[in-house]
Amino acid sequence: MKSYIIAVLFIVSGMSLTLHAFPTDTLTVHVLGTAEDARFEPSVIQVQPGEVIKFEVLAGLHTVTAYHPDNRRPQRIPDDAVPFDSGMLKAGDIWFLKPEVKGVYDYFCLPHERMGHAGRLLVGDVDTLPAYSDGRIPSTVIENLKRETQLILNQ
Amino acid sequence: MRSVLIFMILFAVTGIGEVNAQDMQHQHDHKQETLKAGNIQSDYSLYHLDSEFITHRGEGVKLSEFSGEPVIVVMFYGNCTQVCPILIQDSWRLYSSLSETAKTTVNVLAVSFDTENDSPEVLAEYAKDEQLDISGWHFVTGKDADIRMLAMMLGVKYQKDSSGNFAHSNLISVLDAEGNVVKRVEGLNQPMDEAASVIETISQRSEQMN
Repeated sequence: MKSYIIAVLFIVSGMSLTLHAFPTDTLTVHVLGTAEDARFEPSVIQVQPGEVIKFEVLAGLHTVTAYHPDNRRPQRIPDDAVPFDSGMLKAGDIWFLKPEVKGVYDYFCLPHERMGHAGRLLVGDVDTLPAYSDGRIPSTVIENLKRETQLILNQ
Repeated sequence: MRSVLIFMILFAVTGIGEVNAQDMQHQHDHKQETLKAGNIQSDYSLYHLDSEFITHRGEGVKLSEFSGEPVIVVMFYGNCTQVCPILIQDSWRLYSSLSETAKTTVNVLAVSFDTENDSPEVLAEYAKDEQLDISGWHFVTGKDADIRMLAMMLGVKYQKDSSGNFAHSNLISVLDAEGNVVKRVEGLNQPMDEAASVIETISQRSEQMN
């Protein structure tokens, strides 16, 4: 009997550790599509500093990569923010991001950027959009982000 | 008490089963995209390959021209919308982790196996888009047979499918000053510390020789 109790305690403590290993209060962005249909859904979201965003890959191979010189792109995240790159994510993978600095974060998918696969985080109360450099970023990316952002700001 | 115990064990086992099923699915998906790199003769210099390649700057180049300095070689194709952009990013991670001294001595050869589409002009646009039209980086194409020979010497396998995409190995190789493969990093998102350390050592030797 004693060994049963020990076993139960062991399993319960293991489950508890597992639950605490993953943030529970999160916003989810789905990542899907394999070519021209590759996309983040929703592509623009508004969060508060310190909130956790869960990127969940439903299909294809993707990355969640900040527009930043560290990733060979113009900087399109706040100056004090830490640049990020998820590395390759496959269907079923989950990746978390916790932006701490208020501002606008633009990010893209390395394999599908030229098809316009990009997203934007509005962290905190964003009144005006910063004048980020477009560089050689595909025009489809810029247009998509502008359009989707306007929809959010109009709500 | 016993029923509670059985329920909890079943719950735990079911959870583990789900994780394993997901892992197996990942492995299955990954196999569809990737060919495992082949074995190579590491003591056989790539500089024995006398073929001429063309860079994205339109310059003819033989591999032996890089003799005396460390070289990073990666094979890819420009139209890839799967793993090649990540492979290029991995090469960039390796390059950018080097000291400033090593960056000035190392050359990076990104060799395309899509000889049909990746002309020097196309590769020039690719390099600009990727912000890699920088000193020491060379996006390279060449004749089919020469590219195939280079791939064989590196152990890179590639195969074109009916849709024009390539299944291929995901491999980054480091050559020493004599053109021997001294380090291979296979797979994506791999740690680059060891490869960087190898390049630093070769770079220091090259500096001392000069």
